[in-house]
Amino acid sequence: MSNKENYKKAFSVLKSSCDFTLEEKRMNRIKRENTHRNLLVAAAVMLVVLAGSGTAYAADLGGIRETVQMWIHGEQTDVTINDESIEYVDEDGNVQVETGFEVGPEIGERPLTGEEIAEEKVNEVYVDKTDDGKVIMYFHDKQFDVTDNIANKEYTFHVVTDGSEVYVKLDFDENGDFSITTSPKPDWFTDYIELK
Amino acid sequence: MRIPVQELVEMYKDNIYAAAFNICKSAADAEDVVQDTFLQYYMTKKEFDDEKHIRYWILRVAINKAKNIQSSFRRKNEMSLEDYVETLTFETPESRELFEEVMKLPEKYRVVIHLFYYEDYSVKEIAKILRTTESSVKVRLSRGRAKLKDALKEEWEDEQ
Repeated sequence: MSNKENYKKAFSVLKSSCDFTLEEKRMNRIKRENTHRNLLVAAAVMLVVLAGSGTAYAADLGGIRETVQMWIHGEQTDVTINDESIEYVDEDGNVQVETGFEVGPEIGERPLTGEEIAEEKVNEVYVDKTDDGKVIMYFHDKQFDVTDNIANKEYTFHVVTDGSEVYVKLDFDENGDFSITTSPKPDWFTDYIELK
Repeated sequence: MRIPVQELVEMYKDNIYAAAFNICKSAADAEDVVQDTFLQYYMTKKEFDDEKHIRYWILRVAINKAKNIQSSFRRKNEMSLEDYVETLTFETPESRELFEEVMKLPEKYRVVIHLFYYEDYSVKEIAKILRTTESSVKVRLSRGRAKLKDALKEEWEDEQ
């Protein structure tokens, strides 16, 4: 067998258990709601800038739809907040729809509200490995080149922007892939590189 | 043209799942990518040239979503990759070994390897999907193959 045949045989074990029957009903509902919202949004748009956060909110008539401006991956981006999702166009021009779930022994699985997802997104730390080998960290409206830090095996950072701060830890595996852990508070036994 | 989403799901959900899993290394995150990708297809008003165009589009969307999940701190905590692999039924031990070695590759090699060997895309098409250069794809393909050859020995054929 060729490499291609062997590869397909190996990876054919991956099967999605996704059942779309119910999802399509939900999608129909979402589509109807978005169409309804578009009809309602008229010239009456109120713009409110929250002091200190640099985030602009636009509330439409009746508060049915919210559009905010958020820093995502180092770019100011228009984000639509829906009932249980947020929607925006990423740096590649693709529409991204993000949902989330809270899982716990008492609540089982609960979908996050759009507001909760947006709140998480605002405080998201994003790390990008560019094709020319740089490692750039994004937080709110700031970006930091941490290439030299990574090369020096410095993986913990205290990131501070206007009014916000976060403690970041990068964990690398043997393949050079990494995961990001963030915390609002420092680990007292860890030294952090200050990024401001 | 447009294909009804339910029909598209049946045609490509496993392909999307495999591509997403290749990046996320997580069954739960890969399932999320499948859902979100078809939701995005359903909601977009985009018209496509043909089925090939649709397939290309949904794969690119899925790969972007998988990368977004992978770098997000909202990733789900669930079973490890090793535990998940134990739940899979491979035809032969060699298939399992190939699977495990591919999943050990750096992500940038894994994705290219998967699009080439599983989805049958050319270097040029892979470059478009990943929005990178053809030379970059060639390098990643070459390095991915070298690593697989090193790990799998005779089980992996030499290729140019």
